[in-house]
Amino acid sequence: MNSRATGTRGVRIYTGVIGAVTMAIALVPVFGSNYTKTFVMQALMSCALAASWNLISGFTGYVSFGHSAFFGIGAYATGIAIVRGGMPAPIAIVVAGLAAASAGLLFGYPALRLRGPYFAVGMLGVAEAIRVGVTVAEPLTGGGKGLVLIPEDVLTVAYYAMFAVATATVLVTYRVATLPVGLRLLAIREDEVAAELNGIQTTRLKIGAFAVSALFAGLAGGIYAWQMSYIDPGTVFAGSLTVRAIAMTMLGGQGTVFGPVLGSVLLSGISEALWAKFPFLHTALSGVLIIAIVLFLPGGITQILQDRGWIPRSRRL
Amino acid sequence: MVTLVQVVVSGLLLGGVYALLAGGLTLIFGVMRVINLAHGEFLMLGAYASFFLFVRLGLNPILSLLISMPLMFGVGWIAQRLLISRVVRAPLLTSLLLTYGVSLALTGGAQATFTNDFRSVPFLSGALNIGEVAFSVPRLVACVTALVLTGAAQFFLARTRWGKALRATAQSADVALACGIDIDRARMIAFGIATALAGAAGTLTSFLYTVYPEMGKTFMLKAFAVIVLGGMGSFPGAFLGALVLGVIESTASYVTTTQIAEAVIYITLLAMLLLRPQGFFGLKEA
Amino acid sequence: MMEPDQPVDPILSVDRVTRRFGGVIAVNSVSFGIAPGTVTGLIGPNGSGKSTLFRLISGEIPTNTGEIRLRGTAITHKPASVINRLGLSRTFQLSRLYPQMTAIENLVAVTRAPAREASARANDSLAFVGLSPVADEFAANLSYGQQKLLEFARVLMNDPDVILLDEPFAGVNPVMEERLCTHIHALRERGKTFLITDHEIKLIMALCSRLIVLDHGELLADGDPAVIRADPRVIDAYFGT
Repeated sequence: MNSRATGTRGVRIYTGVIGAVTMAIALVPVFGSNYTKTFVMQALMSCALAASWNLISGFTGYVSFGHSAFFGIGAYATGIAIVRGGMPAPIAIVVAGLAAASAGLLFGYPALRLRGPYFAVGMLGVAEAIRVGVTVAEPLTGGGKGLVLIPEDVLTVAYYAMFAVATATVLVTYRVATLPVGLRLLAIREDEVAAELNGIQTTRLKIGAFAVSALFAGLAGGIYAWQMSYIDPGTVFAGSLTVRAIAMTMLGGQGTVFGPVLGSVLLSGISEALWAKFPFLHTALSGVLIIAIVLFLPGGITQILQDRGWIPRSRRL
Repeated sequence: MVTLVQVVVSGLLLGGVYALLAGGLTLIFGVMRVINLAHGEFLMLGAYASFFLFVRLGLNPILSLLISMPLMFGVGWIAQRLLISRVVRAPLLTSLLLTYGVSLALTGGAQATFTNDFRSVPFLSGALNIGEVAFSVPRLVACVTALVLTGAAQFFLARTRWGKALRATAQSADVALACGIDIDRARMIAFGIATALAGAAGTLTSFLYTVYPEMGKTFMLKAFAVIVLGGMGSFPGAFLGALVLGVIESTASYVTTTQIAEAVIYITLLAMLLLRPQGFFGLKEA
Repeated sequence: MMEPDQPVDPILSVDRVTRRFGGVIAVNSVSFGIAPGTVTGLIGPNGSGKSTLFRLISGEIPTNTGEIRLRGTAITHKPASVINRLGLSRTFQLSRLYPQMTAIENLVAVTRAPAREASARANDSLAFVGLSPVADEFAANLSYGQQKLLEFARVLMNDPDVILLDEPFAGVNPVMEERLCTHIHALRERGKTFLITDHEIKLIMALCSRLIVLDHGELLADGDPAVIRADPRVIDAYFGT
């Protein structure tokens, strides 16, 4: 097949583009304005959320509609650790990540025993229940009025922290995808019963992937809280966070390494350029996008590139 | 004692409305094995329809059902024909994501068209006292209307030709097809009816609660909890599940707060999913 | 070869196993033991309980009563993945591969060899069943026969002692049939134990040293193929009509 040669060149271009974008992102704080920094940081946050959602949902097919729960837990754990516990922010954020991962274990253990669609709706319920719980626990969380952290100008540091979390999420995905464990996760998506009957310990794998996914979402939430220095349940548990993660991952390609990156770059760009002018259409357009992808492009952009032979069908991409 | 009766009564009244909403959700699941995440948004559309008919034309919300229900039937028919029919045979997650997209598109569309303002329909108020138990008039009217409509839907399913076709399709689409049933049409009818029922539930909630674009989400989760309680795909099960959930909610909000009561519902949903996913009357999974 | 009368500890034993679905008794107090290194046929008309028995043995569904033992260890309520790890593996009547994964990926996914050796091991398995040329094809794009062979290779990945084959010959062309029979013989020589269901009575008679006949969920007959074939009850239930 002569597409193989094109494929290799395709990979070089593809990885070249990724490298160049990574460099550019690293240099933004040096040359960019505060506006650019804020925008790119937002995109990095989306990327971390999309890539972490992809780790559980893209690979195992267990679609979680409650991903924002872990972002929110991370944000609140950070806020509470700083405000009530007097912890330094970096430690608070790490603690928050671990708190989110623990929550992933705690909820994943029962929830992941549910078959696919029940899990999806069940997680929607979990996220709502946690949001209500945080709103009600006013002495600790400040309730619906929100929680004010110590305001600091940390934009640049927070920027690099978010960059690190997004990169780490993608690197972990890459590592997973290139090891047999990634194929085991995919096998769960393809046929869970057959996977189990072939000796794949599906429950353990799902819960593990879920906890790692929650960890990264929690870290992103922690950094967000630190940088914003104000959080409230409506914002950090917003369903729209989950929606963006899902839409971006589906656009780029579920269960791939760079699909969520591609999707988050594109959607962040599009929404800044276009939708920012029509903020009221944001939700509607996300919905239309998801409908269009499900109907016409179930494999996302990655699959188009592969179908055209521009990049090979490699799990490394 | 009186308080207990009071709490149970208002729970049952609430349950009647939930039954109407959940009936459609369970019908769609039964006939197509699709969990319609946009069901709450159909309720929202119905609520807005009644709101505007009331504000602009002064139309009584109950009478406005005569206009809104056929309209919503059409909406459901079209949604099935254009979107859902393409994913009926796909894995359940595909249709889940699709209807999720529909849900977002409708919520966002409503935000853009109707704004995020909270609206309400000032229709009926006061209470009817029987002994020491007070029946809220709006809730009573809503519950009775819901029961009439649920009963009509049940009658349609059990007794009419198309109702039987729907149930045959639910049993086995292949067998139904072999028996000469137009299953595509049966599915469109099912989705249309379900949407009309959701819209009617929206009308009833429009004068019980506030109307806003994102109102559907909570109701969708409640309806889902109901059909999980009653068993996915079972119409009578949904009815009983709705009454149970109504009583749980009204008890929880009496003992604690309405906010916590909401969390209690989600926890009930999760517990039910884990302990008895087939519900009390559910279809058995193969 | 073992003398038929000499008692051997069975590698797999099924002891008064019963399974109901609602009011229907799919498997009713069935008992038998399988000696290591043998090929046994499990036959019976459609709906006689063969498939259910396979699902029970492999741990996909739990038994209602009775016990299943592998090398003397009860596996009755163990998770399917654990049973597989203890050395029992099965194929399906309709292949259950991972369709959007390539042939080689289907094998790498299940291997318990260290990551470094995984693909070498998978390549060997593919070569064994003659599928090396299609290593990078999606499983969904393979022919029916190739899918059956790939599933067979997947079962062998972790070197199980007991292999259950669910209708391995259904819809397979004569060339593939021949290949599969050769593989089964070769593996039996290496000490593997097989339990096979199929409707191809000729093939089953040729392959198996023993037949177990199920009818309406109950054990109807158990013994030498030639004797079974002459059993009037079996003829009535199965060979007849």
